Amino acid sequence: MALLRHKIIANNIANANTPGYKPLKVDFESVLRAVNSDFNRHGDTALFRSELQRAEQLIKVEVDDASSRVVLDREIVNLNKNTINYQALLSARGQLAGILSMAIKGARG
Amino acid sequence: MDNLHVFDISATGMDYQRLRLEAIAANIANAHTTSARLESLYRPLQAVSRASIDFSEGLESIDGHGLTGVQEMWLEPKNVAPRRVYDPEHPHADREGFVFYPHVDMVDAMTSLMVTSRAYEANVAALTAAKAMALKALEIGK
Repeated sequence: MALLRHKIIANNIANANTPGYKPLKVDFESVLRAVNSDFNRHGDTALFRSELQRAEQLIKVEVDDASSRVVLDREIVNLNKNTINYQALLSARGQLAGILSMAIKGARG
Repeated sequence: MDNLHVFDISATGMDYQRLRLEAIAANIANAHTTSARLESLYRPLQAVSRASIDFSEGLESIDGHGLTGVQEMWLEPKNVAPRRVYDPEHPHADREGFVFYPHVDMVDAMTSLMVTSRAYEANVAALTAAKAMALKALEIGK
């Protein structure tokens, strides 16, 4: 997800001076929010899991209607946000791997 | 993540300073633009903004989530009378030989330009601080 977003931001910046180009955006959060509110209503964990997996296919790239041109500093801000998000995800993954390796090593670790 | 919320706040601040810069640039660019009709003469523009918080509602209603930076921004023509210059040979001169120019105060424009660029820098500094904090937060437990 973060990689896709990075690609889109890079594409927006690359086309900053292309006439007629409209910035693209990707909205994963709204898909996620829909899944989450579904879960809050039904409380079905299995359904939640399957919907979460399906959510990845629901991500779509769309034209940002709010702005008709690429605003460079906005894109840079989004880029920074995305980078930090990505790093947060990576470190969370690292922690998970740490737990796993602890489990493997057991008391010997 | 709360630090990333600061990014959006600073971004609106940067947007607003850019709008101010655009207004100043347009004013300077059109400082010597004349018009045959007084009504269609360029009027100096001023950027106006509205904050996300309404202070008349009292401070109790404000929490961290209500902070979204600059809520709205737009351009409005300044309420200044045009400059009248005597120049009978000018194609836009009226019957008495006067030409109307928009009243663009260059000293005001230049000082506003400096203030705007400093304010933009301040927004970038706030954003950089938020970024440093977010990255530091990732180091917790390492």
